[in-house]
This record gives sequence, C-alpha cells and structure tokens, in this order.
Amino acid sequence: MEETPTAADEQDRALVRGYLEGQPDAAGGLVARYQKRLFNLALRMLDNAQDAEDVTQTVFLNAFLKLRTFDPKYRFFSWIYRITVNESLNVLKRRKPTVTLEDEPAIPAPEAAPEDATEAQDRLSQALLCLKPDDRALVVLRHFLFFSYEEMANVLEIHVKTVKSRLFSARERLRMALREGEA
Amino acid sequence: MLHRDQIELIHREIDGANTPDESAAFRSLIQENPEARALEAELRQVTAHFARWEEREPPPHLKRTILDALPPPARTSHPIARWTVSRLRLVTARMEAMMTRKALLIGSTAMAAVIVVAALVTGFPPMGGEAGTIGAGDSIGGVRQAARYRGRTMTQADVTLANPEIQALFQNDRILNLVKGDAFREMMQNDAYRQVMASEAYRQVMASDAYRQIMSSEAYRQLMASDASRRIMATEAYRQIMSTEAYRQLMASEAYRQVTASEAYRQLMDGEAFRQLQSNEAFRQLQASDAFRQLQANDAFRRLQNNEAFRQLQSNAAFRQLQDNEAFRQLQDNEAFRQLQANEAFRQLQDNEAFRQLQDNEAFRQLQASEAFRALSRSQQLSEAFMNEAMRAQQ
Repeated sequence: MEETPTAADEQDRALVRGYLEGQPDAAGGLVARYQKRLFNLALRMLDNAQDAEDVTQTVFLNAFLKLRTFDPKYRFFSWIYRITVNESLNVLKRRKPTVTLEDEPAIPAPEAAPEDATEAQDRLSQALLCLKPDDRALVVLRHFLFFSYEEMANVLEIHVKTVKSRLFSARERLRMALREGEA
Repeated sequence: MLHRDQIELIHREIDGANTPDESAAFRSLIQENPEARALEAELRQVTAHFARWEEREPPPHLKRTILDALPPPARTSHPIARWTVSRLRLVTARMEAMMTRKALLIGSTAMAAVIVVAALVTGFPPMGGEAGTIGAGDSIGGVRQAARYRGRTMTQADVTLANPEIQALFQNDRILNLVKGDAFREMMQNDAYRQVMASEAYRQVMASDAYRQIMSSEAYRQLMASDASRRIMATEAYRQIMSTEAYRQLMASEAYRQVTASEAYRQLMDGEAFRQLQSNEAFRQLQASDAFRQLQANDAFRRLQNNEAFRQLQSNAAFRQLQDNEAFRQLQDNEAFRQLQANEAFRQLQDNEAFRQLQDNEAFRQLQASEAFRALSRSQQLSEAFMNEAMRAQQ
C-alpha cells in the first residue's frame, strides 16, 4: 500500500539513500530523528527504561542491517515503528507471563509509578500494563504518538477495521478500570 | 443502551476521525442521550490522562552506542561481531554512569577491571577529541565538529576580541556567564543546533525585526515555558502540519487571524460560541478558503485539534497574546520563518531540553535581542568567531 509522501518522509528517504551511499552523517541523522520517539514507544510498551534502551538499540541495528531491503515507496517511519513494536512484543513474550485485564485486574506494574503522579494516573498506567501487549501497542501508538488509524494499520500490518475495533475495546477496558478505581 | 454504531461514533469523535457529517451526528447524539454524554466524558477523561504522559529523553550515551555499533555500509564485518561490540559498549556506558555515583566507587575494583577490559576491546571511551573539535578535552569528549565549523582554519581576525561586536557581547557579565554555562555548552555540541545555525533561513529570521520583538516579549517566554506548547511541538501531528502548504497559507490569511483572535473561536467547544462564530463573516470567508478545506481534510490537523495539549495551548493566555501580537503575525508571514519551522533540525532543537533551558534564560534572550547578536547572525565569520570565544570562555 503506497502512502502520501510528506516532507518528513522525503527527509527520511534522503537519509536512507545517504546511508546506503556511504555518507558519514546519514546514520546519525536517522538516529537523531528517531531515537527519542522509538525509545519512548518502547518505554511505554515495556515500562522499563533499561529494556527500552536495549530495544531501541536493537531496532536501529536491525534496521540499518536491513536497510538495503527497505522499499523506498513505503514510509520509513512505518517500517521502523513496526520493528520497534515487534521487538517490544518479543521482549514482553520473553518476560514471565502476567495476568491481563481480560483475566483479572489490579496487577502491580513492573516499575512503581512516579511519586507525584495522581492516583488516577497510576491506576490508568497500571491498567495499560495489564492490557494484552498487542492492544497496549495500539493505545500507545494512538495516544502517545498520535498515529491515525491508517498509520497504526500500516505499522501493525492489520486492517483499519481491526485497528478500530481493538483500540475501542482497549479504551473501554481502560475506562472501566478507571471507573472501578473511582467507585 | 447505546448501539455499537453509536459507541464507535463517540470513539471516532474522540480520535478526531469523524467526517463533518458524522461529527454533526455525534453532537446530536450527546445532546439527546445522557448515556452517550457520560461515555464521551469518561473516554475524554481516559485520553486526558494519556495527554499528561511525559516524553522522556533517551540516555545520553544511546546515540553514540548505536552509531558505534553501525559500520558504514561498505564495511563487511560480521553482524554478530558488531552486535557483541555494541553490547559491550552499552554495558560500558552504563557502568560509566553508575561509577559517577560516589558510593559505588568504593570497593568497585572488579567493575573497574571490566571497564578497562571493555575499553580495550571497544575503544571506549574515546581518547580525547580531534584538534579543533568542539568539546575536545572536556568530559564529554569525541563530539565531532559540525560541518559549519569544520574544514576552514580560523584566521586571527576571526578569533580575537578585536571584533567590536564580539567585544561588546563578552563585556556583558550575564552573557559571559551564559556562554560558560552547561546548557550553552550542550547546545554547541548539539547536531540539530548546529544545522539550524548554519541554515540561511535561520540567519534571515534572526536578522528580522519581528523575530527580535517576539523573542524579547514576555508572552513568548511564557509560551515556550508552558508544558502544553512543549508537548504539542513534540507530536508527529504537529510536525506534519507545520510542513503542509495548506497550513502555511492558512496562517498567512487575514480571515484566519480574525477568527483566531475572536473570543468565539476560543470557546469553539461551547455550542453557543460556535453558533456566534458561524454568523461571523470572517469565519465564513475562512471556511470558503481552499487552504482551510485542505487543512480540515488533513488527518494530522484533525489529530492536532483533538489533542489535549493543543487545546490547553489554545486556551493559554500567553498563546492568545502572541497571536494578537502584530510582530508575531509579521513573523508568521515571513518566508524564512516558515522555512525554519518546517526544518527538521529546528524541530529537534525545540524538543531539546538544553535549548529550552537556554530559551528560558534571561541572558540568552538578551543576547538574541541585542544589536550585536543580530550583526553576528548576518555574518557567518562573525558567528564562528563568537562561538570560538564562547568555547574559550568555557575552558
């Protein structure tokens, strides 16, 4: 599926071309553009800064190693976000299994929430961590990276309809978790 | 009991994904149905919580660790070897961070041995900088010189205090303290900052009267210090919007200015204000413009409008004051300013904590608003000389 090019996509393509042509600053340019966003995506998925750092590093290494196979008619950002989501899901799979919101609520977060966060914020963060990893990815892409349904569909390689139905369900579960906490 | 279609309509409205007709249907639904209103309110509460998520800076060593692990495409070393080296570097960098804590220094000879071994294998940390490299010899080390400052030997005229403009700047204690500070040092070592400084658009903007007025205004300072503006500038949707032609056209239109300056627009979410707005001639002109329609159809724009931080920004008093400010309007009309805003390096810079600190710094604002700094901005040689003096002052 071809996507509408934007100025940002053009800059990505130029950097990808530059890297493949051996330009010394191209790799640094791509890392500078994406490291923060990928790190934060992984952090929201994994709730662990060390794991997020490892994932970000692995993602860039894999991306650069496979850059020759990247088809420039697609958007670089969809491609690298997809690698990040998949790598984060792999890390979650390797962790010992946890109970999801669908099974039982109130599972403690792997890392404590910040002390100054509100109670509701804590509850929502914990509820997010209890979503199924695939659904958590949708919520993070939508509400932290502000992706559209189409962009999420591209990143996760699923149909737009599936994006909507899973995102809406996930949000419903978060809403219920928030409501239960307030009751 | 709400139907599935109605629930989806509410979710899509929350996501800013409804068409104008669907949005009208949504408004009717929540006016008529208390259950729908309650659902919308609860979902907005959920999304508002997400809007408070703070973006975190990646560890400072991460970029270097990644780049060190990457060979140029022509190099044929084995991926596993590169991976091993990269892991070693990551471990080393983490250990280095841990070692800065005094408590860990005592009795940590085993860890120190690992660092030494890792350093021998990986060449980390770098053994000082190249001659003339920005940051050479300091604790950061190895930061490569930006293209702008590389490849040309500075002449004596460039680097001495003989230049009256530079002399004037360095005689000001506050500016001297500023350039000696950590935030300024970090900025000079920042790739994005150097790219922006080297761009023609940046120089033109810096030399404009409108920019100086804005930079020295209290409203701008307040706006840049606001959490909402930081969050919105960091979003992908904002970045996309800033690079669209429709957005630029709209920002330059008189109708848009009239509308955004109106009280009714500010209370757009309020039904009564929206009706007032619809009877406003300027708003009708705006709605009839191609640029407005393009922007309305733009997915990124819809997401931006739906963003909690963006809403906060629009209701921010300093933001309104800026929008009503004539100099701000002139600046938005300025082609160089638009180019600068669409520039990726400039966006990265705005997202940078050290840059924000600098912008919040009174001395930095004084520096940018000064006649001398404008003169520097017009001349690459003089700005290079200033940077050289700043680096000397830091040593």
